[in-house]
Amino acid sequence: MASYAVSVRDGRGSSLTEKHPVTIAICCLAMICAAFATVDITAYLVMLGMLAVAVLVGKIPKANIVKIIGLVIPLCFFITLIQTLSQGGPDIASYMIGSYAIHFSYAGVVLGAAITLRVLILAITMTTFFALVSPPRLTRALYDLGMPFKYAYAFTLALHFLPLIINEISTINNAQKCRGYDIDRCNFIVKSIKIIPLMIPLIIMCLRRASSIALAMDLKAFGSITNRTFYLELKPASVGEKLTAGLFVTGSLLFIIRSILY
Amino acid sequence: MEAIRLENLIFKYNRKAEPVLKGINITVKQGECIAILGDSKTTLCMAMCGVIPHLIPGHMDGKVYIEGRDSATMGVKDIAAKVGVVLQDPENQSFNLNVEADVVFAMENIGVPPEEMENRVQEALEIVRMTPFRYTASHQLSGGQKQRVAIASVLAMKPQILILDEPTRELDPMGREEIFEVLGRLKKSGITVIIVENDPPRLAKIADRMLLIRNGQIKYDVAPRQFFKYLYGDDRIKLPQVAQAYLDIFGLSEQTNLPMSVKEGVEMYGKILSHY
Amino acid sequence: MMETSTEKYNLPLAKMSINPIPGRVDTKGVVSSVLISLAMIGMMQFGERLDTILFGGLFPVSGRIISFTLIGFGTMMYGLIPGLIVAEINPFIGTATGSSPIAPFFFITNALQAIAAIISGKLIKNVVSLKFCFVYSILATVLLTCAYIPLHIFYFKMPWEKLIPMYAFQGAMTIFIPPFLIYGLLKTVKSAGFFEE
Repeated sequence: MASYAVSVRDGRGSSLTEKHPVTIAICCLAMICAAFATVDITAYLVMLGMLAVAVLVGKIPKANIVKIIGLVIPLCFFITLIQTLSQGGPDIASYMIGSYAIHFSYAGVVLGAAITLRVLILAITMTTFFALVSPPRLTRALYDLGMPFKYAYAFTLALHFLPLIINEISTINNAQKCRGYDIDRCNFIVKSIKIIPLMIPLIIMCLRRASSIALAMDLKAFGSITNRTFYLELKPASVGEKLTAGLFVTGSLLFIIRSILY
Repeated sequence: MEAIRLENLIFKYNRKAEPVLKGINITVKQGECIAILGDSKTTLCMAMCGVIPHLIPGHMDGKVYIEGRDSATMGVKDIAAKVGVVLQDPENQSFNLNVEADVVFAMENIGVPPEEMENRVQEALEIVRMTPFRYTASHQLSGGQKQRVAIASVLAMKPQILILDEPTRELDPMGREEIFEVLGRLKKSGITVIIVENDPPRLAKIADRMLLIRNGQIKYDVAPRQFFKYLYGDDRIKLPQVAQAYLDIFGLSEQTNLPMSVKEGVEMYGKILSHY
Repeated sequence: MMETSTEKYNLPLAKMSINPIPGRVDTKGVVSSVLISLAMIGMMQFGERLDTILFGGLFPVSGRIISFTLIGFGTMMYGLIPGLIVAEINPFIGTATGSSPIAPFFFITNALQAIAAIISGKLIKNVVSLKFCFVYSILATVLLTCAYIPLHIFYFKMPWEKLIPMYAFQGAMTIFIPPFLIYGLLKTVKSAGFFEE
């Protein structure tokens, strides 16, 4: 699990990571809304081009993007298959199974491709957002927007403790193996059913650890005052940032209106 | 001036039949270093830092005064600003993604102005010798380093009193050495230190007084040298090797002056052997 | 020997004297809900492959069983706000780490599970009972199915007649399996002494 702080400090910070989180959020949301409004492959390719520029300028690790593309493939294969089988229009192929004809329609393939690109745009946009906005900046932005600090801070806490919990699962898994309960040797169907002897110790461990963590946080006066101070200051969004966000919103609205009308 | 005073403290957890602390009276002066051993030491620590009665429910009688003020009437923020607490497990005391964020966390919670924070961060990291790791991700640190960061995050609040509840329990020997080195430096800085540990020989090197709690009451509250004389023969408390060897060879008497370090041991053995 | 108990446990179980809305929002409640959410993410690793093979991840079965169990558990233990924290951390991490392409939709669907638990708590007073767990599962399944319909029809452009058998299969799994998991978990947590008056 990469540390956002480390990725900034060891030179992977970029000009985009310094922008105000709200500006980045508005641009991402505008992109997502525009993607929802159409099934035009050309428009999606333009959006993907814009995202590619953002990924390059933002110095986002390519591995993240490749990973998300890999995860989208089975989903989109399934969606395309369903669309191909259910959409009407000219066929690209058809087969007979017994007396039953199966038609693969061209319109279905095109629609499936469009949905694939739409899913990709959503996934890459969200990944880009979280890559550009580090958890402390996100926490600070949510707090500035009015969310109580202890809830905004929950996201940072989650990212910090995720590797610990994953390690604990491994420890519990090994402990159960010593007792003859080896989930790793099962096939993936049985594996998803046999998780109970892992889940219950894990939850108990989490609840115990939570008591200890909460005590440590309370001893550092967490949540004891409403007007806490911050070491990290978010620079207010510049005029350029506001203009960019405005452009994105306007462009997205115009695109949505155009898609609806035409 | 006294840093902490406990007056006839009695405490019983809600689900227990018997009180775990039965009439504890302790006065800790400013700048002192006190070591606590025995039973219910964590409960005593929690009472000293105000966690009992604010955060841990139970029945408490008696008073705990922190710098002259009754802890029951103080808020958590006020207590946290005066009393810094370091717990056993370093994993549970790090909440942020890097060292710097962990050190500023407590300062932000008590409302320290941002312009003051930079100096405090530098000072705190310098005391625990973690300045080169300022921007390191927390998950990349060893146990000893994490515990040092926990101490730094507490020191950044500039508390008058530091309470450490078995800070080396989860650490390997290297980590333990690092923490005790830090404690030695802290003692010289004049901060009041109260430490709970199960390592009497190491504690004896830094503690001004050592307390033993048995059956909810204080059995001994004396200087380390006297402490080990009282506990010679008690299998539950480990003496420093040099003191143990001295007592095993020469026996215990009223006039026995126990060596507490190898250097002292060499001097004393040297004097005795010179008679022969 | 069958254990009979006349004790009634109301939501939230970690502090039954307070209102389930907003619930236990002190530091312990928030931290516990964060860790339960992380446990949920960890558990989902085991069923990921099954869900990917079944419909490409569009109709997750294993993932939903786990989310029903743990979001419901988190809400039952600590109340609405901690339940929402359990619900929202998962899609946040999933989106931030790029581990699921449709994770952004889970912000809404997971929140509905927490809401279903609160509504069930209003209908059935004794939380530590199979009856409550079944009511919760049925309510959560209905709410999620209603939330997924616009997603599948308008976003993924799926033909509605193809959705029915998939919803039926998913619904059967999520109505009949999670209640037993939740009930077992609640009984264990109760024996471990995590309920408070």
